[in-house]
Amino acid sequence: MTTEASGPEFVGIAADANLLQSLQHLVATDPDRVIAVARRGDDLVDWTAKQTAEQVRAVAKGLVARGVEPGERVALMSHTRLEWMLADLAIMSAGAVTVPVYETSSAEQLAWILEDSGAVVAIVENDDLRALLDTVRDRAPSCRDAFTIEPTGDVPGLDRLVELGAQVADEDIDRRIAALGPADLATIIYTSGTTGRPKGCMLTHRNLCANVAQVVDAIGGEIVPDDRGLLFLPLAHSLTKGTLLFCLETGVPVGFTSDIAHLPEELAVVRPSVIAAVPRIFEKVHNSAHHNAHSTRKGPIFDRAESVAVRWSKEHHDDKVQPWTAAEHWVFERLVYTKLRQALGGEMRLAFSGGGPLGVRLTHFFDGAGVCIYEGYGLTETSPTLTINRPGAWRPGSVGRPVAGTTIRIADDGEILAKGPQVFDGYWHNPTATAEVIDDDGWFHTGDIGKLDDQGFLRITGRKKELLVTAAGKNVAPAPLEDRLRAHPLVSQAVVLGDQRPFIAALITIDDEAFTGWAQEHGLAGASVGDAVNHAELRATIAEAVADANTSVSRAESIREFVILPRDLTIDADELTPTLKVRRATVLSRYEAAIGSIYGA
Amino acid sequence: MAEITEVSVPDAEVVTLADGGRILVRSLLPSDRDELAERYLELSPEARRLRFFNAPDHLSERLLDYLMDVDGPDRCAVVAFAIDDDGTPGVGVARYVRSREDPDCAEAAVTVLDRYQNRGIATTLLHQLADHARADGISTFTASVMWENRKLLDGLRAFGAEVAPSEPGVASVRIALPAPDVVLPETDLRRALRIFAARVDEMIGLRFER
Repeated sequence: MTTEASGPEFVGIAADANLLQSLQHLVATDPDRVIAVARRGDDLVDWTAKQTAEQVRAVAKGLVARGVEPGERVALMSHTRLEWMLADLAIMSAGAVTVPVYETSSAEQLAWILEDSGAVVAIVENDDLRALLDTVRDRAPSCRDAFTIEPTGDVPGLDRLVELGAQVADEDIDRRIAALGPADLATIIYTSGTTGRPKGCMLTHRNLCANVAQVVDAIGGEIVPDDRGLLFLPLAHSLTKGTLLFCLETGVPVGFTSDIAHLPEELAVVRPSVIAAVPRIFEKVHNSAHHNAHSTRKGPIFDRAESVAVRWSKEHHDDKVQPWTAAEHWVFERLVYTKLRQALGGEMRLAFSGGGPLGVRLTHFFDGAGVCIYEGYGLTETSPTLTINRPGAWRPGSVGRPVAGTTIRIADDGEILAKGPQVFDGYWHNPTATAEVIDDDGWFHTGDIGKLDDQGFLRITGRKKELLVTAAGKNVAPAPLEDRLRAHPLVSQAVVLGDQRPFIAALITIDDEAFTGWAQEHGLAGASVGDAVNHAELRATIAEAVADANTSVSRAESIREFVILPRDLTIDADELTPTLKVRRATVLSRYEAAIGSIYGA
Repeated sequence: MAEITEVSVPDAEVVTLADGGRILVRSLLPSDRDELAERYLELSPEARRLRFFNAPDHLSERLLDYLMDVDGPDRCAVVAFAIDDDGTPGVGVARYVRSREDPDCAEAAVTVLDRYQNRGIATTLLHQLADHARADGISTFTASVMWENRKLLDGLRAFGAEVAPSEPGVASVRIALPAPDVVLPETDLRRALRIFAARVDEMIGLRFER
């Protein structure tokens, strides 16, 4: 087994590179090229490179008029939409640093991010987020201005910012852009650790420009002139942001939506050929096709088509498709695969997957059905891409080989270490946390555990951090939530779960001693916890504890469902080690049925 | 804690720490029950988390029953008292529980109050614990250790421990205790155990810097 693998040689980035050059280049060479499509009601409105650059400049001038200086931070809290990109590019054009905030963040998180980053201006999407912002303004004294993307009434909107900027000369913005170099900060993205407050990952123009170039090196050759992208995950997530930058660099027009519930309709309208998604999206597409087929008595056909797709993909991968497989594949291509691709808009060619493990069978299934999914790996701290599968170097179950200029090493304990120009310099104002992840030899410690095969493909096998990663790719630390739950007198143990699940849930055990008293007060004297797990008042009481724990986190991290277990965790059931340490994996498998009911499995 | 000064317990031993402080180390006795419950409340949340992973905010009677049940050849616990301090508080406990599947193995764990950490108390406790273990025919300690205790794991590795990934956040550690009949100079064994225990001290305790 190999312990180190490197990507191809990296040509590097220009000495004066910055993230605005992709757009500048398009404006100079192909100003009328459509680079974005925005939804306006049922219509799609094209945005050319020139229009985009003009709007970005106008907003940037407004920021300059409001006194934003190079290097200062501007918070951006919005769903995925065109204006997110415009605001981000405008902030950087003013020489400032974008601090994205998940639109689902709690007041506590927003306050911390504003306070820690020292953001001087906040751009928020709508009145609700503006109201949330106003509740924490006193904790973020540096934040002197706020502008709303979709304002109502007299609330200042982006148009107000544009008005304010009218007095600023275009050349001021040109100068600020020209002054931006690779070493300058482009963004600070906050990520959750296992304990403590979120930490701000500082990503420079170098980090992000290098990563765009690395991904273009790996996969840019697949891009054709008619390609279109669709972004639908939060742009505060580094995978989505990276995809946006990739599309800007390669001139692929992008559409935006945040309405995951209506993703099928959105796919049908935009008909993207390029997307980046978390595995859950692909699972959903598969599951709904499976469900639809079975509910219309075409189940057996679908199942056969699925196994043929998987077989065809495996044989094709080994370059030995059997004649019978080819024949069956040909038949199902017409019967089934076309329809599946229609569900994805009909044009999908390049799909990137990250943020969690993509099932091997699912990967082969989609490949056999005509959609090749390229799974990659990286972290916010690595801009994000470290490794990626690519045409000609595609191995389902792996996250691919290192991208150019990147070395992956497996430490003695199995931890994945990385070096490359996309690896960040550190956490904002937190040298202690930085020292914990970048060692003296410059290796970044990912906190994930993995293996390299002899061809340099990386496989992720475990995690050193006590973190859950939801199906949406959101990192959630269970320990702080569990601590808050256990603070309730009736709760003895709490096990927060949700790894690769659509949302976070909790298993809760009841303290026997406290329960006795509670039961008496509630007319259940003599009852056992097991008798009362579904008792409405007990559930209501525990729901309060859950609601209290949830105040500390964003909606994406909050506990949506809980199950009260009939008994405490025990050593006899192997849920605790002999020295009373909780074995999460055992607890989860023991209560598989209860967990299945939470997630509707 | 009058009973500790009686030193009627056969294995009681007064140990002088590197900083000159003294502790008394002995087997856990039934009379220590209240002390254990009270001192648990003094542990920092982080110390509790690293010890239990998902720690209760107090030790219930049932947990105490379990933790106090150390009679017989399968369970053992040793405690340390700071005999120079007011009230001679109990400041640390180390224990093992023999594996049901593999009687040559025992799972070990140790806890020291935050403010007494980094003084070699866990080391001392583990010395005694390992002595008991070998006398009871145990050849291997296992432990579940959070990966965030990087120093501990490095130290354990230096001692030859096998460290393997377990569930997210957790490393599973195996460390061979030399058999009592192996001819190994006592000094080497002691030294090795001291290294082992010192690392454990760093980990468990969590905030050792005084």
